[in-house]
Amino acid sequence: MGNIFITPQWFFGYDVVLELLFAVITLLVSYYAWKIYKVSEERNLRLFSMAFLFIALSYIIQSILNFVILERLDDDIAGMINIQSVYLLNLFGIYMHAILFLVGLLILTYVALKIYSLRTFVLLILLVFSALYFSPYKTFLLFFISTLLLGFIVYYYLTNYWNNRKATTLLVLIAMILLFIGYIHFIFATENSMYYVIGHFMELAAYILVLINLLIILRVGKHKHKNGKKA
Amino acid sequence: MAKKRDRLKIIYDILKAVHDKNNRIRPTHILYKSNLSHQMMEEYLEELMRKEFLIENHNGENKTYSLTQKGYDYLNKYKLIAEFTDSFGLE
Repeated sequence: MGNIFITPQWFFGYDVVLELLFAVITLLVSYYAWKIYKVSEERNLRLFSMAFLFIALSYIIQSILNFVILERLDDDIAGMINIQSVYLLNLFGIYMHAILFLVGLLILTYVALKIYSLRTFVLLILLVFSALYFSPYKTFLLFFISTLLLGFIVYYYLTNYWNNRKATTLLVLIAMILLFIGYIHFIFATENSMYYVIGHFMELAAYILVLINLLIILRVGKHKHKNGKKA
Repeated sequence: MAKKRDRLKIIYDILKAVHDKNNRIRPTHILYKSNLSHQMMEEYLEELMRKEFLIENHNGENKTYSLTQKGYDYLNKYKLIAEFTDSFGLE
């Protein structure tokens, strides 16, 4: 993701805007999860907020680095920079985005597992990052593991929808399915640059659904307990 | 089959029971209103006091519970909490 060498030329710049948009939406989810955590003191809400904060940071970094790359490429047209530095910056951007995104997904998976043990979480982190450290196919593995975790999260939201059938649970389920499909496309983006574009649009659709869901929640949540004292 | 009452709803029911009794309620009333076993109720009360949603008052041999501002906030925002946790599967 964010690899200028797999991005179609016409898509330069659009990806930066899309990633910023994803960052804003995921930051909003993180912010409201944290606000609701402060009222309810429910541990899962704190973890959920942290998960989305990591995901938001991953998009912010990706967006900033892609913007820097875009700027440098403009310079390169004038023959002023070394393409190797752009390549390294691009690689750094991919790793930073994928690692932060992966940590966010690992926290979501931990919430979905419903095993309230820090040791389980540490084990998950160690397994994933040691596999990445020793693998010669780091980029592929980063996206492959992200896709696997998203698959698990999709299953979790499928059971959530099954147990609680309503519009908002369906929206979240569809959003997670779209993210999952989007990430399958990112795995193959090095083969064909159109997969990179399709992956981004899948993500866009997913995050729009997440935003709609958040707006529905906030609207419904406006109704207060009629006799409650105002803070 | 009726859907199992979730944790957040049980907390809401307890806090609402306190509120509806003019913010001073005996444990026996909570037991009756919340429809829990005695042990479960004790666990919930301990959690609610740890989270500072409730305070315990002693008047001679009588023990009562009252809502704190955090307890009121929970009641006010319950719909938001329930909607958020439901849709994102956080219960």
